[in-house]
Amino acid sequence: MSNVSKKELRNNIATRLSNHLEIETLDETPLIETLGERLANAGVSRRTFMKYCMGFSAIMAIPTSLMPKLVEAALLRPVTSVVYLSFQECTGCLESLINVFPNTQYKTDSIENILLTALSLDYSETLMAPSGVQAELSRSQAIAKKNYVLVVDGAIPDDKNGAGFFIQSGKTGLQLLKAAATNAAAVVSVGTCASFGGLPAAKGINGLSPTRAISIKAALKSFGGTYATKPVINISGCPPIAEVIAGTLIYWILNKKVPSLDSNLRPKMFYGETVHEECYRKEFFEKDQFVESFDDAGARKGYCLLNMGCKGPITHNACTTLKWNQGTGYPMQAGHGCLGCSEPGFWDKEAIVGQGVGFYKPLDRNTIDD
Amino acid sequence: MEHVNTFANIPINVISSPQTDGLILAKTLLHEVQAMLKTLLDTGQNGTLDLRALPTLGAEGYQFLKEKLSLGEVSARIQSFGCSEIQETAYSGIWWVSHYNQDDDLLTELIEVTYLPEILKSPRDDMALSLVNLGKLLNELAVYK
Repeated sequence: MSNVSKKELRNNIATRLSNHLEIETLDETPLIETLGERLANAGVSRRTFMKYCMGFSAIMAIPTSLMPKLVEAALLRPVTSVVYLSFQECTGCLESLINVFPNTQYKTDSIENILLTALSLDYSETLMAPSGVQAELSRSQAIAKKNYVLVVDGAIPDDKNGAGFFIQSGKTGLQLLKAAATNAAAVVSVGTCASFGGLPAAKGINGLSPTRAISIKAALKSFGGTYATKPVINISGCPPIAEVIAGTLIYWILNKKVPSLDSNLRPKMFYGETVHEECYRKEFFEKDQFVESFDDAGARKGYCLLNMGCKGPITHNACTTLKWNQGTGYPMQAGHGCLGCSEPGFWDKEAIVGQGVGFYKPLDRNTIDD
Repeated sequence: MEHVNTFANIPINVISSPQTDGLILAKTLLHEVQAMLKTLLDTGQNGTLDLRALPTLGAEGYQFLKEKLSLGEVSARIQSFGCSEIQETAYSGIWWVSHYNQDDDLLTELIEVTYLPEILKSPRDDMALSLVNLGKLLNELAVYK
């Protein structure tokens, strides 16, 4: 066995890789592909794409009569490039997006295929094949272009001193985000962690998040300059509903602009109402008929789950309208209250101030309108 | 007692149900469809009603609309990303368009007021692609002869 030192071995590998990369980069030709060409190459007919977009028109509040024109314009534009970064997250958000249509995943014209064809997913650590140096190269090439959509899941450790909460390829989360956000046309924060800090930002023993986690918007704000004014869309939820993520991206493809947002930067088309508004148990709420313990007589009759800690009345999301798992249902239909996962600070939120934190602590009935 | 031997003799007391919000909305929509048809004839502008954007229509209002518009001469079926059913109503120029996904769940349902629903027309880009593909087929056939 030769006595090659580890350092030499590493150098050899690095040289081989860099040689290989040089060959790869020579092959790089600027290619601007329109959405129309891309769909045609993937065998997605215009009619299929039109129908897919039509399906979203009602929930996106785009008049269906406008849809043919929007689709026609979108088909002539370059394919929207997406760079997907993950920070302090559990991958549940990406899982929600790609795996929520299990009944259709083996069909060639399934929803996720259309979405992934309509977009060019140029970088996603979880989904892409390359790793190591090749992956780094993919990212640097993707973020060197302009006008891509930066999709981020996970909160960012506010780690300005490089304390090591989140280090990847020698860079902190903040440095990675800043580099990726520079040329992005818009930043889409997917999930409650990216939108508001979520679980990583929940208070630890000393009242602080162990990693000082902050939202993507807060991180961009801390960079100042053009970063602070960069358009940010928060798609909150733990995880968000797949159709909400897909719908927001399709809205961008069709309109090339940020949809109308609420005060928490969430698209009004999906977060405009509370889940309580459309809940089928609302009629029991109005009659003051409540479940008092799981499996009591009221629970068997489907009474309102407010006293079991349901946060539906203060939670803005589309669970009761779009539903989960291919439109199968939502938590209240399974007999459990809403946890309020799409609202800021939901882990630490006290249902009634001073009464402590807990998902089963009820809201004050008197503060909720019928 | 009178013999119950014909429909006319069966003592049925028809109670007219009070008008629900859905029914009122359905009647309003019929007026809107009529206005759209007039606009189409006068100006050539198409009109569309998205039934999924009208949740208050309810089952009763929906059924009312479907019954009143009834079925016309043309019906077509598209097989693309699930099926779509396009049915001309009894009123020429008013089409009932239902799009389903691959799991046969209703994706969207529209009343289109137009000469021909957009989704039925062959898209120009797809036709250009067909021209290329047909050329390839003819070339292949020429080789085998």
